[in-house]
Amino acid sequence: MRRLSGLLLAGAIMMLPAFSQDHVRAAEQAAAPQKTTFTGDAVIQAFSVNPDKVADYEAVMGKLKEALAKSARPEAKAQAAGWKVFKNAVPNPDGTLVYVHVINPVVKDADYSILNNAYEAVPAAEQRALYDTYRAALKAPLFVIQGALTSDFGK
Amino acid sequence: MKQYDSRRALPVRPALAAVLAVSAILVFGPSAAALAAQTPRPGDSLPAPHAQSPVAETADAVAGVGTQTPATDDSDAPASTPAKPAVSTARLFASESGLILSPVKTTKVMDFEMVVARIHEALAKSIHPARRQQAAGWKVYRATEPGPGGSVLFVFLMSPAVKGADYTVGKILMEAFPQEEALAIFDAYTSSFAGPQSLLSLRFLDDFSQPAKPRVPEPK
Repeated sequence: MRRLSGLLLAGAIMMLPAFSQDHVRAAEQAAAPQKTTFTGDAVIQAFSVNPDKVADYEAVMGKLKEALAKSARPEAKAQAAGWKVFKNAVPNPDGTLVYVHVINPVVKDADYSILNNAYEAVPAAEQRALYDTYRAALKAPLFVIQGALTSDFGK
Repeated sequence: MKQYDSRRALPVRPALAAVLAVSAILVFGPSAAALAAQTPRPGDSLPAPHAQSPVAETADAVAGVGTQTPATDDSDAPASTPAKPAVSTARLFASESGLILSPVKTTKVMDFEMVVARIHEALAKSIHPARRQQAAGWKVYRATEPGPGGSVLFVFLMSPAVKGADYTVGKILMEAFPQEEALAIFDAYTSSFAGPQSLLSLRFLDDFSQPAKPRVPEPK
């Protein structure tokens, strides 16, 4: 019986690091902001923005650009290099404006979350305000299309 | 981690009426109401949109965005086809960039890609400088996730677009090929669509690779 308890104890001690590592990993994952990654070569995503909040949305885009430019993450420069933002020339009947993000090429495994990136440009104390500004400006995410380049008529 | 994995079809949630009512675009994914219902914390991301197509299965698309139905009308037909009462006959962009979304039947993808190759050929051999300019900024993408009704979504991205130049496929084909051949290609083009095309005329806002510039107010 004593031998059995000894074995169990030894087993438990051996398992403990594994459990605790998993636990720590799970806790880290829970705390980490959710990433947005893409696997296609190019991405086109669109958002509709409240008409009275267009300046706010564009200010957040400014923060996003600033964050990518300043970021120490090696992939940030590559992300910026392929990221353009357009605005639909004609507003919707309800006044909302469609903004289209064209990302080409996509940096695989890089985080394309607008907020996660933009947060890097503001102090932690201002992140909530940035979130609120962005959320108030955004009417709805419209679509994400990702895919492969099949033809470049310029080549 | 939220990953838009091109190797799997993403779940498509039904459109929400509230969003549809105001934007006239089929939205698959979180609605504004759903977003508003969240209690965000700094550090949280807003839910990114799920894979979907902006091309509605009806003729409606984004309001303020031209909707085209080449499969059912002749607005993109070669010039030699009989004239119809005046409707939009040109694919024009009044802004710096443009986007055309085309849902294609799964059985007609090869036809559509053949047409794309012929448009490429037509633009490359054109003697018109404007056509060469159009070609320089025109790229074609094939979406990895299915479009509406299981269609295959193709994206024409014109960036930069040539302001005032006509991107009508029929005209481009007719300029480059004998009439009979152009009509046959055009027929393959129109019969490949699973639904209406959508067109967005886009103003350039920012290129994140370029240094920040002071914002100038847009002309009214």
